[in-house]
Amino acid sequence: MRTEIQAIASYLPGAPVSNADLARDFPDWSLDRIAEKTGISERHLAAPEECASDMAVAAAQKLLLNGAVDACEIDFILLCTQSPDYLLPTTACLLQDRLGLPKSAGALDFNLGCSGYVYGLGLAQGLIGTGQASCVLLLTAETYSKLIAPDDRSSVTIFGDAATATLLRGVSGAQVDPRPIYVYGTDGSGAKHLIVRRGGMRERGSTSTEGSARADEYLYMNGPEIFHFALKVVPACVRELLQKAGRKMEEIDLFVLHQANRYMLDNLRTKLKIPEEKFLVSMADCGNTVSGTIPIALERAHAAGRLRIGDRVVLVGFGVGLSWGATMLTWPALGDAPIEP
Amino acid sequence: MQMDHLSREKFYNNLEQMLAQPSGSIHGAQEVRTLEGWDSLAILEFMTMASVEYDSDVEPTDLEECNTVDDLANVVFASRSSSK
Repeated sequence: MRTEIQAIASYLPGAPVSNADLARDFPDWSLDRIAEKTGISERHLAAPEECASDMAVAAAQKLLLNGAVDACEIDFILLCTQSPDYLLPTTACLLQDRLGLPKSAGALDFNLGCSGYVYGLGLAQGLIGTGQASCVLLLTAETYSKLIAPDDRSSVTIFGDAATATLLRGVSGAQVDPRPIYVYGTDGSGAKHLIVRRGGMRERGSTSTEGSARADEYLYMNGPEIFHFALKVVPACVRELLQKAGRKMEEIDLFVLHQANRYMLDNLRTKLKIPEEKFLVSMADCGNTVSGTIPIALERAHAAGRLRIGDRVVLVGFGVGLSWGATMLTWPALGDAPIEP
Repeated sequence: MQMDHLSREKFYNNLEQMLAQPSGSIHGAQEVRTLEGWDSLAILEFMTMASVEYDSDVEPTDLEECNTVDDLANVVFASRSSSK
């Protein structure tokens, strides 16, 4: 039994907010320099009344409407989000109802950010591989914009809201099933470098420091620490993944890393010595959409013809937690498979 | 091992280029917080410059303790792979 990605759809909320729009609101921000370094020219923001579940429904409905899957076929939903509609109940349970999925479907949220899509693929493959599910809807939905202080220049320019829906199915009958290859990693000592302190059970109350970039109810990101973490962890993670697979760098057709920002990706590509044509960069018009960046990049690569059957693809997610994960696909199957003649 | 005079001058020059400042405008005793363009993006660029030019793995916490440009130079030099 192999697990295949059969379809990916994304949803970007609202009209795009451009760097020119930000420059009008914040004339003292050096937006040209920020745009040059981040590679981001637009980002989308959820409407005030628009939450993760609304965006997830919009993405999932694209798959339902284009015939990729019927609602009655889905037997498990996984939702990756750090901005759920409510603390409880589970947002994925709301989605079961809103999408008209069978009541026999399993549904759960998992709280991860930029590494979340890779973890989601691992969970989906585990469910399918063990026979617990046969058709998994893996969703990502993030409204970080609701957690960012309006005057936090770094975060306002980098992050965007989005949702994605990936359809994964178990497929039998292959001569050789791909071998699942995953690398996971966690460093909780770095949690303080990317955090929203208030709103959970540890600091439930709210402060009155409206508009301050340092208020505990807003996102805090230590850019240099996150940058340092990525440069240290990602190359090692890629090397470990390739070693597990028994593959060399040159055997990989495409690298899709979490699209944090252009500056970080350029440095990682240089450090890993990956040729430009094998390294996907796709975030200029949507920004850092957290767990959505990898599926959005895959969706666009597929639509542009950059992904062919049998391509060996490495995905690497890394960020908040601190958390990281990598996996290999033999497109569109999860895992490493010999290329069929 | 101390950074020699020529290496220190080259460091100031690298910093000037990174911050798009005129040659000779940055000196060792200058306070980091007064450097034109020294912001969060510049810190990332500095860490990259340290890695590429000096094979130096500079920790962000080390930079937080730097008051002067010479403090930056000392951190870079101490963090070089060949210094360990």
